[in-house]
Amino acid sequence: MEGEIHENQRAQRRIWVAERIGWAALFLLVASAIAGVFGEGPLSHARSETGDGVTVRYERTLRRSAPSEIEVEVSRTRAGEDIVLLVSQDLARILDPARSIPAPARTVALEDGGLALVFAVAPGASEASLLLRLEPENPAKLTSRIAVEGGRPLVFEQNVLP
Amino acid sequence: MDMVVRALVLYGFLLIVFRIAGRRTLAEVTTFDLVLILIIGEATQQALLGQDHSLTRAMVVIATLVAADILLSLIKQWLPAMDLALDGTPTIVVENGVALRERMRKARIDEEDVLESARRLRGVTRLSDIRYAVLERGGTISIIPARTDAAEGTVGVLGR
Repeated sequence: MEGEIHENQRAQRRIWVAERIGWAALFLLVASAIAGVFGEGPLSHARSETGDGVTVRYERTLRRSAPSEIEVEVSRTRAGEDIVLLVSQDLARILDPARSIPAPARTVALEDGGLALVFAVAPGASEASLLLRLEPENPAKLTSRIAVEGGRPLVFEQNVLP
Repeated sequence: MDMVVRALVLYGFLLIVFRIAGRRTLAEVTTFDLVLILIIGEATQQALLGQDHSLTRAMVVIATLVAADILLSLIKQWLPAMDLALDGTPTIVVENGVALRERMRKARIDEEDVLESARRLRGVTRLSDIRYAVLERGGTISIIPARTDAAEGTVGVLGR
């Protein structure tokens, strides 16, 4: 090109190619977000059972300062007795008992840094559903452990993204 | 998933709202328009982020919005009908010095808007010196001066 237009088509073509590669990466990022790589999706939802009547639904991937939850279903509770849920230190650190449903009647600190959460259950109820609210404050890899007192523990990994 | 869906819903909603608002609305930003844009941004932010202040979410939301924009631009390239529906078409509003009133009324612009663009872009002060004024797709008004160019005329006057 003559005149003052300093065209560089070779460079421009390379830039266009790079742009398109970038688009592909961007679409891939969005697709993985839909799949749940960054939490809240099929890849993140998880469910675990102890085999003795406790089921836990949780997210594999959490995000810093984003609320999340763990649903604990306890069947075959001993009628009239409180449910005592033991949670590991990692989980205790990100737990928000006050916003959990039901809120535990009592929270007891354990020796290992974990917590014992005592939930009151209606007399005669044979099963209960507990919703634990979480809000992690720092990026981390957590080893979360939940057990109903006297039962088998469930151990699962949770990844907190920044 | 939820993050992407929210971002896409808002993208679609804003696209429709601004399409309905018409091209003149935010093309020339007045002080009030600026305030309006800020308020819209503020309202949108809450819906997009909720209580989640994580870096990850911000990045996913931005990626989703930009990806939607790129995808839409590609779709517009493939489907001219889509392009027409979303971006509209240029409209001639002054032809050979004559204002096309009905078009101007529909597009919600008046002679003053055309003259303003004429002064600013071409130094033309009279409607009769305009060969074409075109309301472009982006909402700006392009001015093509009449053949007896106002600029030439000025040079002539100064030269005398």
